[in-house]
Amino acid sequence: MALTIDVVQGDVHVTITLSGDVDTKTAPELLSQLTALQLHALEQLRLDLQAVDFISSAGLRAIVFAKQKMPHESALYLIGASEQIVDTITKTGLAQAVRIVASVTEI
Amino acid sequence: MSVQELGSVREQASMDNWDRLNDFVNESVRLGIKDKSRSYNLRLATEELISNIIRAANEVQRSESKDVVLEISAHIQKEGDGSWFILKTKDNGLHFDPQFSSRSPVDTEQPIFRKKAMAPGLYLKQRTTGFTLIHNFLLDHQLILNSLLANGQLEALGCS
Repeated sequence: MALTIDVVQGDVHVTITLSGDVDTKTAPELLSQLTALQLHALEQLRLDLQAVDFISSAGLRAIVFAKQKMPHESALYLIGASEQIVDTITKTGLAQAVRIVASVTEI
Repeated sequence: MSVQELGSVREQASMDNWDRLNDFVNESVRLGIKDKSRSYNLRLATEELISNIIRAANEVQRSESKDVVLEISAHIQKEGDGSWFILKTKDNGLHFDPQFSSRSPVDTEQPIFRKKAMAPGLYLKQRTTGFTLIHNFLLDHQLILNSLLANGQLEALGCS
């Protein structure tokens, strides 16, 4: 399934809304979008995953990349991830580095 | 014991054929495993497997100018009251090194975010991350990988 990526730049945060599968084929598109951001100066990054069905390890690597480039005190929110995606993120230990919320109102 | 064939796909192991290979796996998993969590995790593991085979095939293409062909087949095997979903891959690319298979090259217990690569570079991080994912999901979700060494064949089995 194709991946669509929508990037919205706010005052202190960037919201990236994803739709589709983030797999070996599509993860480079996400990585490319993340690389284009000023991650080292970003206070908050929001990844909206409500319309994402599947994230492979390639997708997780893109998220890890973003978190590692952001300042230590900044926050990376994963919004509306499915139960399976949350399970994957928890099992890989990535949950320690990101904040998982059901909706944007929880931020 | 009865066997229900779910078909097969045979393509050059290349990202150009990613959609055909991946679509076959996804459809087979959907037919073979009803439990949503298990099917998701098997898909996760096989996606990693296929991408690793393609990555290795690219190395063979560069070093030997040889095309690697990947064949994936799937069937459901019913035994008594239970059944197994069996996904089998076969390729003519790089063989597993029998010495390598007896030991783990990475600490598979360490969360990936804290993992310290043995050498710098995104390439190794990619490899170790993928290894961790497969290892954890095989342990946690009753999936079994059976590698036939030097035969280019690997089976992924999941309780359906």
